[in-house]
Amino acid sequence: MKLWFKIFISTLFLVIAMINVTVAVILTNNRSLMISRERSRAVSSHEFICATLKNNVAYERLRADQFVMSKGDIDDIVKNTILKQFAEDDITIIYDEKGELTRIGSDSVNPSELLDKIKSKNDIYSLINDFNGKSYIFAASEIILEENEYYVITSQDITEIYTEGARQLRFAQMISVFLACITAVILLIMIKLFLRPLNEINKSINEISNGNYSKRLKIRGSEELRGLSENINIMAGSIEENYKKIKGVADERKRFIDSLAHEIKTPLTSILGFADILRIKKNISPEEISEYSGIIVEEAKRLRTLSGKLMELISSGNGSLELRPVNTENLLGDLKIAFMPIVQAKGIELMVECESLIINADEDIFKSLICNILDNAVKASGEGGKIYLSCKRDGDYAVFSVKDSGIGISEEDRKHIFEAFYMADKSRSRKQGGAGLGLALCAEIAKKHNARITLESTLGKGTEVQVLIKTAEAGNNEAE
Amino acid sequence: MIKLLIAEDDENIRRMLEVTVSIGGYEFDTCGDGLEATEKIKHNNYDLVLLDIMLPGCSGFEVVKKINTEKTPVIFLTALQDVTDKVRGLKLGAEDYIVKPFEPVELLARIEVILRRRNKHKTVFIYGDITVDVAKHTVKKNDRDITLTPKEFELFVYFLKNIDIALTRERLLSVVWGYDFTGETRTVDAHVQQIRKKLEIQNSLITVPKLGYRLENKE
Repeated sequence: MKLWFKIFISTLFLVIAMINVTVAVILTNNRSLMISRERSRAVSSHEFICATLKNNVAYERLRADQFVMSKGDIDDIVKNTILKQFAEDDITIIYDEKGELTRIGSDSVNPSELLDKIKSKNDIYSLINDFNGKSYIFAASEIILEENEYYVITSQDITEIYTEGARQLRFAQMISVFLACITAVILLIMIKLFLRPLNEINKSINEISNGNYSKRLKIRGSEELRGLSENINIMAGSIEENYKKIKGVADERKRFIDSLAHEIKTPLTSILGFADILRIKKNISPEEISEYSGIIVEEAKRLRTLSGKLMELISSGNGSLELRPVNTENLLGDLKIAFMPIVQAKGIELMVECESLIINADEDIFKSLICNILDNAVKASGEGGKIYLSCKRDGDYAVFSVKDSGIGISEEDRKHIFEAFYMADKSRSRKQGGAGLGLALCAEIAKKHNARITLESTLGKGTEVQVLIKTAEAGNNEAE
Repeated sequence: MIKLLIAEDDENIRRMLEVTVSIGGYEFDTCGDGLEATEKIKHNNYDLVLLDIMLPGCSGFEVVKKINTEKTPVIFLTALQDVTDKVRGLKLGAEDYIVKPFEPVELLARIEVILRRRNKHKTVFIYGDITVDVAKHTVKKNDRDITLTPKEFELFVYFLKNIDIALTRERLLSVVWGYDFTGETRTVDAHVQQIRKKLEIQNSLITVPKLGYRLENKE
């Protein structure tokens, strides 16, 4: 059930009940007031009848100038008085000791119980009783006329009071239903107005959940709704942020896989093609065989390099590093020994300058970072080129620098240089057996070591790559 | 003579394409750049272009947009395997789409199909004293009519188109009997036997051990 409907129904019933209770209390009060008024009126009219009877009897005795009147005469006077003077009264019944003497009004009224009550009492007794669907108020008393006992019972019809009460109650009930309806309608409109922001919030949430993550709610309405809107906005914000993050990761992964597929398929095409040609072609000259098989070997080597680098990238990305203090002098010394044969063969001069610093690093993996950069420098340099490898302290950092005088990198290429499989010059890179993964690998290793790689280059003049890593000393101080 | 343009930036693949195309008996030009390819296509009258998609300069898609594919049919060569890329390439007007890596013979077959579609293929083959007219569906040996069943005829024509190339039984099955034919390779053997007997070419339609068959050049 909807909230507005619940509020509507419960208000409707509550208002009806409240009005009815109030009306019932007021009406009951009112009626008891009217009844007591009627009762006193009945008593006074009863007294009046009694007094009249006494007067008439006395008057007749004086007029007849008798000392004592016979009971028969008194009976006559009483009968005449009642019939003549009180014919309009509702019911009047006079009893003497022997029984009923005279009666006006309905025959069915027989308040014999009253008669018993007044015989034992001296006062006027009153009682409300129902006969034949009508309500009466009875007043009864004993009077002595010339030493004869009479019992007078008078009654008033008060049915009117009851029927009037019932009529008023019905009227009040009708009014209450009517008022309740009006109240409910007004309330309904108000509820709808108050809940309208809630509908808007609902609509906006739907929109957000359907993928419009940049949607934000307007902050308005009552305080509770404002609070709700604000919180929903905060939620939508974090959803959007996470969505972007995940999408970024997914896009990057897709790019990586696409590039990987391309890099694998390219050498495979040559290998499959030439292998098949060797198989199906008739009359192949020895020169052709050596050319084709040469290409197959070359491309297979390319695949081998690719898989090797890929494994390195994966293992550097997954494995946890074993950080140990490493002396930079030893590190660069090892690298110099490893690279000497290569640079000498290419006629490149390699100069190494190093301060003795201690850094926290996984020695083998960090070495492969510098090694990759150095490898790039060698590839970029031609015969007679110079490569300058150094390590210096700069504040808290140890700065490794690899500077070459090679071909340099264009500004456009610098933007993509750390992306996997990006090659500034594909054909040159392939000739040198590159897989396009070197710097992506470097970036990954640097990230693991909390190191930073910066790159400066001028096309045609050379490139300087710097790796900044905190010295062990600075790192330890920070940890403390 | 039929002339093709090979536009491929990877040197080794380009060389492989050159060798493949020359096996098929076509002439060719080569280039490794999208812009250069566009210029060459505009100024030469190539019968077909083998176009790599990821070309430096401008991509294969761009090249296709700039040229008249009605005049020059294009086969895309690409490492991309995405269906949307394939659809895009074909929508731009390419005739076919080959995903790397592929077998050279398959490339030749596709080239064949397109050239035939463009009426640029031979309809009459002469092999020694045998003359085959594809359009009339007749085979003559020394002006004497030879009756071949439809499958034998198709098979023999395929051999004629691939003279001196060893053809595997699987390839013959897929070309002559259809790609979805899953019959045994022995079917091929039976038909080859029939062709040899009817045309008396036991010595030139030879068996290549562990591979298939080859129709040798007569000269």
